[in-house]
Amino acid sequence: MFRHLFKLFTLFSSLLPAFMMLSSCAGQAPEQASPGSEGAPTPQVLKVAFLYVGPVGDAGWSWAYDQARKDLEQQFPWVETTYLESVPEGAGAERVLTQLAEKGYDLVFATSFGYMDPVIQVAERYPGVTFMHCSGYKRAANVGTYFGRMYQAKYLAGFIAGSMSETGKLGYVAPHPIPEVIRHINAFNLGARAANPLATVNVVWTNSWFDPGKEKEAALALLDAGADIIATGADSAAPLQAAQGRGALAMGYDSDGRQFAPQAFLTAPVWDWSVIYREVVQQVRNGTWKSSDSWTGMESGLVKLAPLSDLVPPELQEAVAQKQEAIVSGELKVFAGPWSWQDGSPAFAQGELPTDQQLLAMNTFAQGVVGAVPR
Amino acid sequence: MSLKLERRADTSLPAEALVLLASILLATMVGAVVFAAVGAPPLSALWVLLREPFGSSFGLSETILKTIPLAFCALAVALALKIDMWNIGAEGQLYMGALAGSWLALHGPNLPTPLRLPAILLAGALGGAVWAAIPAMLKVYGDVNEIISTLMLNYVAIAWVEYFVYGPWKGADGFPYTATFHESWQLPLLYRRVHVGILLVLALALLLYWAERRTALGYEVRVVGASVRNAHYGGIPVLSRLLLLMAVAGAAAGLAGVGEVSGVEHRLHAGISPGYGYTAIIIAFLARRNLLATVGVAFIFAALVVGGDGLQMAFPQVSSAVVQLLQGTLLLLVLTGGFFTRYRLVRSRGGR
Repeated sequence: MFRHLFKLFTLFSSLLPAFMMLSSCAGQAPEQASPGSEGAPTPQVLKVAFLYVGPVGDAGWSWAYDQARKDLEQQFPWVETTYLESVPEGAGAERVLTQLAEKGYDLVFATSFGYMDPVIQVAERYPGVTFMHCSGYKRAANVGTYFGRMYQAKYLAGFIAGSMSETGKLGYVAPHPIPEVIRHINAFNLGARAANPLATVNVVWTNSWFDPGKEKEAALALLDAGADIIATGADSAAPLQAAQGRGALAMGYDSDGRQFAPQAFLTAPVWDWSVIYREVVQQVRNGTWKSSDSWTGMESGLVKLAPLSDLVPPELQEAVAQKQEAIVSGELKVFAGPWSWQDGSPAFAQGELPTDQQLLAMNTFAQGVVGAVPR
Repeated sequence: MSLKLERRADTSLPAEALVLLASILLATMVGAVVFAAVGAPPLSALWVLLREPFGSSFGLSETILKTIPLAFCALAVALALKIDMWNIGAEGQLYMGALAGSWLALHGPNLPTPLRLPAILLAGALGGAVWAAIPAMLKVYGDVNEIISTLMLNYVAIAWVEYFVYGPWKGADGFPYTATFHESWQLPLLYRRVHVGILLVLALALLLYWAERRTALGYEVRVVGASVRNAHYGGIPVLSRLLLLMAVAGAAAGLAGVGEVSGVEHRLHAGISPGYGYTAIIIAFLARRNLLATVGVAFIFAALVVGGDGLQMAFPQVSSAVVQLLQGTLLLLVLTGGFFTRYRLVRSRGGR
């Protein structure tokens, strides 16, 4: 308490210099940029901004993103970053995006699907700013899109769950019923069935990216329904903790959350966004950036499986490692036929592969998933 | 010797203004402490909080835009407070207004173009009014506590909106939002993103303020608010006045919802309100139930939101929760201050 007061005192005594900073408070990072080599008109400092849908303390999606932001600042002395957390999806994001553009940010990463239309609208008014939108499908000259083949890691996670479950019933806490999430659930299901053809994946929706309360309730409902392993597609660690509380096993998502439930944690499909960030900031700085859609998977390192915990038996660890290698080499395709939709109709025949377009529009559950996509 | 509270003989306007000013000043200081604690220079942080919403035409336009739903909802809360009804349900009434307006724009009858904007506003107002009438009827006919019923109905309203945007009205691309409204269903813009809703909310506040003071109905409502028993004695139909007032309150919140979908988002989705209906409760209290003051206080709160975004941009270490913390502190201080304009602490010797 007193230490804080003292700190406050010293801060107040520094009011005068703070006052002098008034007019230039946006730029606060030290500028030790190395100038562009051939005297090209590249900016000395690249100002990069990030929009997060949840708080960076969510220990999931936004946290994983923020790790990559910090990595950028460490990697490149000429990068200056800022971020905004808990930015609502929809038109509210338009104000924030405009404020960023007005403040002279060169590159903006909008990291949730609901920012799609605002990004397109603001990008039209600020052609000098580069926008990167995660998980959307609308592009423009200065708007690129990117995402990852997370379904590969979800498949491996499903394989582990299918191998280790005693009841054969797996639980999946699902956020929004959109193609991305449905694709991930189907991949998890296919992985589980590769280990145990009778495994089922029970789904409960939370209709939210980040809502620890709802996520916990969903996990408990799944456990009550007989699931003995809980997986999640939402952003918090609440499902992990709920599973540990009941003595069940669980898998995280987005970032390695083992510290939240060490007795339940098996693994987590995780994102390493720095793979994309490092590439994009260099392209934008060199002027070689072009609007495109980037969709890479485990081969690029963007998508990973967090180190398996000791709860996973060694033989299974070995089998997972082999499958992962096969995915990276392209030998194993997660969605290759044969498999069926939930209603029993064939999805893809033996040897048949869905196109990326079909994957991106996936809107139906696979056979083995218990639950409904709202219609 | 002990302390005891004693009611002051009268409350003076200068005293109230002084309290408000002192509260804002104190809240600012609390803010400075918080900024310092997270490592942001307090003065420049406060400056950003001021410069962002007022320092540019863009910032000002965004502040005005945010004022619209906040002011509509605050009117909904303040109106109900006139008769001692606690309308915690402005959030749900907002969502029902948005739902009704969206239904009309996307699936309603094919109206002639000039009728569309009045129609969508009417639909939004009706949606909110119906949703507010439910707890009012429960109160009148079942003696159900309206604090609970209005609060619970918020969740029901949001669940209805979720049902439609995740289900039958889901976008063609599989994402949980409806198709975009045709232009003829979109409220005209005045400046940048500011739509005509700001004129509507000002007009509504003035109208209600006038009606409260200058009409028989307003008089009756004031009597009911002062004492239900006296109102009964005076032959005022208390129950019907209560129903009417709640319906009008719901209509105001419904207009907030339809303003958001028709004026800002141009489509319906589950997150159209980041809690306007709840912030409105704070606003109505800070405005001391004064219907004109609600618009002014709503403007200040809108500035806090816009400034809060700017604050995060300038100082990433300041979390988005800080602005909410400031709002809460402000409310707490004003309420405490308000208490001391009505009571004073006196020393009593010996005594009981």
